[in-house]
Amino acid sequence: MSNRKISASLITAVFTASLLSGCSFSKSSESSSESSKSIFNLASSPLSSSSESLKTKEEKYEQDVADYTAEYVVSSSGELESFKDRLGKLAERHGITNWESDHNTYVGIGRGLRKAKLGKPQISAFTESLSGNDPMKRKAIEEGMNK
Amino acid sequence: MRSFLELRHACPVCVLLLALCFPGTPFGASRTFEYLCINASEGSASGGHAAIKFGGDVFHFQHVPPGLLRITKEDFGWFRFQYGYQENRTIRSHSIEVSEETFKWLNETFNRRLLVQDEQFAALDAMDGDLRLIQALQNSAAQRNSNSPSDDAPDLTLKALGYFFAERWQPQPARPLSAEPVPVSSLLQTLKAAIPARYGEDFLATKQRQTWNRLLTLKPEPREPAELDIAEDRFSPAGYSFAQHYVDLLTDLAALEVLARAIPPKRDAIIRAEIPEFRLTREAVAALDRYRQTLTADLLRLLSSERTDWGYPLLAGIARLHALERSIASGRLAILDRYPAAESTSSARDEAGSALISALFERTRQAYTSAKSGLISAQPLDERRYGQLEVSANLFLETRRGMVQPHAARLLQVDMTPSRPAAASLIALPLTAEQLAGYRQALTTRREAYLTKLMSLYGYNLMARNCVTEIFRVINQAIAKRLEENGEPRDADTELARITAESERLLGGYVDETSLNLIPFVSFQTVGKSYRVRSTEELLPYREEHIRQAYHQAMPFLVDMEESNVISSAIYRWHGDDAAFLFFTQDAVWSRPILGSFNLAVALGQTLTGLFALPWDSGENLRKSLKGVFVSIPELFFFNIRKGSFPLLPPIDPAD
Repeated sequence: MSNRKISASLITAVFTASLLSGCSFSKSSESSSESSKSIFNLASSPLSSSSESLKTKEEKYEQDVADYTAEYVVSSSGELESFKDRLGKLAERHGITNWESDHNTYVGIGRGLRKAKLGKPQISAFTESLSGNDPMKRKAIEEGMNK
Repeated sequence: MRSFLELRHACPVCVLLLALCFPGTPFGASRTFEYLCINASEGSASGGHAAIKFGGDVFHFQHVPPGLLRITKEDFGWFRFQYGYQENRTIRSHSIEVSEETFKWLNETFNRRLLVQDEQFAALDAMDGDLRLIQALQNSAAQRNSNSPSDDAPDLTLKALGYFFAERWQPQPARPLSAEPVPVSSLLQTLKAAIPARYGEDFLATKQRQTWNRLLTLKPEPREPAELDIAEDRFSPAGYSFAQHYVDLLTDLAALEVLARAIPPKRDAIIRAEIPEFRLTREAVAALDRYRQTLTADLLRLLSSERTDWGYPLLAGIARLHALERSIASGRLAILDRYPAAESTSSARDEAGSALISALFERTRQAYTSAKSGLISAQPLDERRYGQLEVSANLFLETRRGMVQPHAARLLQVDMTPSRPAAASLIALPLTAEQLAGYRQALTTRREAYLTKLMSLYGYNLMARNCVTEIFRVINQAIAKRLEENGEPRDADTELARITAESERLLGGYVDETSLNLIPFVSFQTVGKSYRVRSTEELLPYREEHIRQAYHQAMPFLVDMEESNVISSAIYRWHGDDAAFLFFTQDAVWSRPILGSFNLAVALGQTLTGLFALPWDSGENLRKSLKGVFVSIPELFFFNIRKGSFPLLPPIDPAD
């Protein structure tokens, strides 16, 4: 093998070796990453009006709830307790501990039910199981379905 | 010239032909999504990384233990901060023009992949949690049987319990009120007094008994075999695990005890500060008072909630109620301490310099002022806005402390919700040792099978399936599925041709997930040649941005000389995360071999140090030195990988 070929092979090998540590390895723990993100999001937009940024946060929360609800109700398995557990965790990621008292939760659920394109009986059953006798929750779910 | 609108009415066929010839033109609203390429550097993803961006959201795949590719979604500002600032890497982006419908469909595709995978990984985490709890219950039982109760008895960590208990909480089925005088919260006594009218006289005692009994009936029951029937595009709920159920019920019991015994929060749970910014106007006090009433009503409703995990919001809510009471009574803001630990761990000031800490302080002060002014808006205060006030006030106080006492700042550890944890002893379940062992064995087998299935779906392979190839694999798979849903028959012989054609229609071209496209910068070039790229952009990394800023204040060649090495650099401070090196080599190509040889010498020096230190540091220095050698060698051949990183950089918005 000529010297030029050896050099080219060596360069290629070195270069390829340098690329071997491929993908980004997951950073630290999820919780510390999430908390750093919260500071970043807070500290990085002080000049946007609080109502404007809150609307965005509400919208993002509703969207996440809607996406999860849509997938959950369409899946063939899953208990309501499981749904509430995951909903609780999703709400915490958005800074909410008591999702049952949050209007946007139910609006998001309504949006999810519409996205899932369920039949009326299924929608009624799911709405009933989540809202119980609370007319405010029912109304919020309907608001989401009409959004 | 007649406008397109007039043409549309005049000649629909012509319009259609024009639209087909010029996709993405004003006829159909067009949007762009971005393909991002992050360049190589020391550290994880040394060969570079790739991501796809829709609006403000970035999806990218990460290599997670134990060898899986997992999709993640990040806000672009945060993504750029991590890679462009902390890791000091250049981010290049191609903006790819597509129709509105294609944008939404592709965004939804990646979002759905995220949802499906998150649930699958949650199921794996749930199994791990169950195994840990079973192990803890076995250890606890073994200790009891040996009649040697110990302070090292296994316990769990419960969120928000740390606002009320400093030591480990010991649950008991019915704990009488202590004869010793203990601090009692009048606020909680008032709250407790409202319960009989709403729920009946013995409600708390009954609820405590019922919750206790419910916990005792828990068993780590095996799930259905369908659990293993998972697929990349099938959503399977993770389920409510035994461990999560146990923790939730234990937290419920803790919350009931706090309420029943009217235990006030610990003194250090609530922060107050005698600073002008914490003074409250009459309107703000009135707003907080209204929120206190809302929160009180919510907490009472929580006691009858059908969700099993009502204990945590009850604990957090009770703690907040006390903070609100103090704010209202004193006219000065009192808030929960949102940091999980009292000790500081960050020395951000050293990393960033006083100018940056000052900027961060100013930013958090503005954020706090904005959140505080939101108290008197027309919209009633809710948990989201009150939480924002809490977080912003915590950050403001911390950065304020950081201005005066650099090492006291705990900048990066605020929780998303009030979560100060504390330890709680386990409650033994009426399960024999044999039963626990049996459950553990069955769960271990199930977990192994599940992990094997996950590996078959998402196993990472540097040369065949990595963070770059996965992006195109998701796109191409989605196109194949779309064709199938549109009624096109599946035919292995022509499938690739049909996917290619559809990809060209939707995206302007086709990029496959094989060949050299597995390398980030190669894929970036391929995307540039194949997809419908409207524009290409390069976002400068942190160091480069600051060098360019410095050019305005000093002669460029002096700045370049100062920033050429770690000793004189005003921007970079060497830290333990980077292997030792002397010269930056990303700035000029011609000098790389010479500067690289010095870097290699430093790395070899660190190797010698590492060898001597091996018995004491478990090979830490040696590992770093080998990393230094690894990234220095390419420099001898004019290649640059190392950029120098800034891991302690305080969170700042790269847009500012």
